[in-house]
Amino acid sequence: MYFQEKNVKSLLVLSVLMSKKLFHIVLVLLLGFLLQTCIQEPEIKPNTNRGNFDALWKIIDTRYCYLDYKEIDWDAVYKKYSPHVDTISNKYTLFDLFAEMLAELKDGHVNLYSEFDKSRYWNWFTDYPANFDSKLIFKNRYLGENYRIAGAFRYKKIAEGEVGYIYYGSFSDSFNDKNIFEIFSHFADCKGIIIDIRENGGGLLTNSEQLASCFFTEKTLTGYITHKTGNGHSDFSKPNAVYTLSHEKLKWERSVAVLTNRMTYSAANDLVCRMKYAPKATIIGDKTGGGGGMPLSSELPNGWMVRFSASPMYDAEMQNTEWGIEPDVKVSMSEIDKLLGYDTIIETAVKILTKD
Amino acid sequence: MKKIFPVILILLSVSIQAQQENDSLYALTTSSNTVGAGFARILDPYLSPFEYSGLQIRLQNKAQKFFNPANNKLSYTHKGFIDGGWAHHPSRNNSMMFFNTNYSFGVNYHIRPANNLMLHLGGSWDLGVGGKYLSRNVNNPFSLDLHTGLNATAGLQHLFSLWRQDFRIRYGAQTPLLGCMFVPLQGITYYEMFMLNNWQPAFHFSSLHNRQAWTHFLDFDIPLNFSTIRINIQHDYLRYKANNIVFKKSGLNFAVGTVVDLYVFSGKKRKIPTRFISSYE
Repeated sequence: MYFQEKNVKSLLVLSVLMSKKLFHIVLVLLLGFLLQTCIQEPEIKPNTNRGNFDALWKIIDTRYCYLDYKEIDWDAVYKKYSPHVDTISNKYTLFDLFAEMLAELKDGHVNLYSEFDKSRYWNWFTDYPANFDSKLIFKNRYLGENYRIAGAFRYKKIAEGEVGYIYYGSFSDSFNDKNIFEIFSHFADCKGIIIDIRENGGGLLTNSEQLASCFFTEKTLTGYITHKTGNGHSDFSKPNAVYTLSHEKLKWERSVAVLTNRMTYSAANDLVCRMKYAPKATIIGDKTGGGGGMPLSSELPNGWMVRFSASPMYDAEMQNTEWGIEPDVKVSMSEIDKLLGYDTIIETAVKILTKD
Repeated sequence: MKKIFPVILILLSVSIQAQQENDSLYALTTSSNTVGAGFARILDPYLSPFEYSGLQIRLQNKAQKFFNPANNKLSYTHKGFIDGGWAHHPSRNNSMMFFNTNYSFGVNYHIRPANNLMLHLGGSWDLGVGGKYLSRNVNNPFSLDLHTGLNATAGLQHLFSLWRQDFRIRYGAQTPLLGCMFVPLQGITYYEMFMLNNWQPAFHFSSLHNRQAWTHFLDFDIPLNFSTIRINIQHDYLRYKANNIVFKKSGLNFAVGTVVDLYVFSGKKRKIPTRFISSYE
């Protein structure tokens, strides 16, 4: 207010002292100056160890979405790592320090990318049983050698033709409706199908949405998503409902089992979140790995890129999916089954799908 | 001076009947096409907090004509350009592709304070669509630029002779006044906007308080036998803020091209006028 009054007084004095034309010119210049100050540009950190450290810390502080949810004291993290920054003399050690700091977030969606390395946090699956053996699914009992491939899907009838088995290894690998049509046609006389997304680390959410839609008979609320609206740790938008639509042409109206393990992550986690609400779906296996925060990217002064969870996703009960989703039927791989060439989780799914 | 800048007749429909003469004054369309290259600096915090710099190329067309040949004070302008380029992170570790397209329609009031000197003041409405692509980013690799608005425009033109040769020098400037622009929140993904239809708050009213820009150019026109060559230098500066993020783009472009006066007609019985007027004169 003081600033405004002072300006007005100055302008009045100027108007008396100057000719009308000159006053207008000065007025325009002053207006221009005041408007310039309306847009203040953010401070850019220099490309030094300290500048890069501060930039990284600030990106996470203002844009990472799970600091409060995970009860992480990010200021304490700064104090813990900051003293080491000025003693570092090479980029490799600096990278390792940054990677260690980012590991405090315990998030598989957080990575630091440089020209020589990519940091990662893998404890979300390495601390848990694998519940998957790729050798087993390629045994003749399951996919064998003569399976078919449609788009990103490997598929074959198993259990004496009673069950259709689909393995989908990455949501980054695309498929189209025709692929799904061919698979559903191939499995037309099966009692049910299995979609195995163990070891599926995610990819495109649109693939998850497209696949899930084939198992819904009507538009169904399957989750929510929010995004950050400010720099505060809890500055989030109102939850935006996520619906899974029923596919216009393709519908599998018999039973479907979705197989999961701890490496079912990100977009694969999203598929599980949706399929929990599909009318004839059963989630079988281990708890998923999570990765419920949709990641975004930013950069440091030295050009390194940081990826971080930015938009938290929830299920339809507004439960956060970052730490994973519990299956409907929890099953672990049996070592004895493994030795006998059986995949315990697939066998359980077959039993459930063929029990009628 | 009229004879200096050649008139090119564009005959859309040629016939014997069309060659009848018509004494009424006809307003020519002065059209220029330029191609150029220059430097660009881009700050788009949706993609990166750092200012990228690089090279750009630009194609531009301008067409100007009097509304009414009897009134040599009011003209209109169509202007369109497309530019694109490649810019780099300050560390040179990453690159961004960008493009812009823009169309504007403007109205100019011509003032002639002295012989061979013309001042024009006016306004324009423009629509700009562009984008930037940072391939390394995850879920935010693309940033859409979209705006429309009203601008103030001004220009000064001087015709002069040197070494028995006539030249035209033109200076023009433009600044936005108010409009609407697309600026999503920094934390939202295009997936949420485009797939889940969550657009708020992505569209913003813009005026001088949150969108400041100026474009100014200098044209140097050299008439030759059958056409006029234009040498152009243009400086663009844009800075805008919404959702607490500041965007910037600036560029310096050098271009060459041609300027022609077009007589456009259609129909078999249209008479060719013998008297012409160009909004550049």
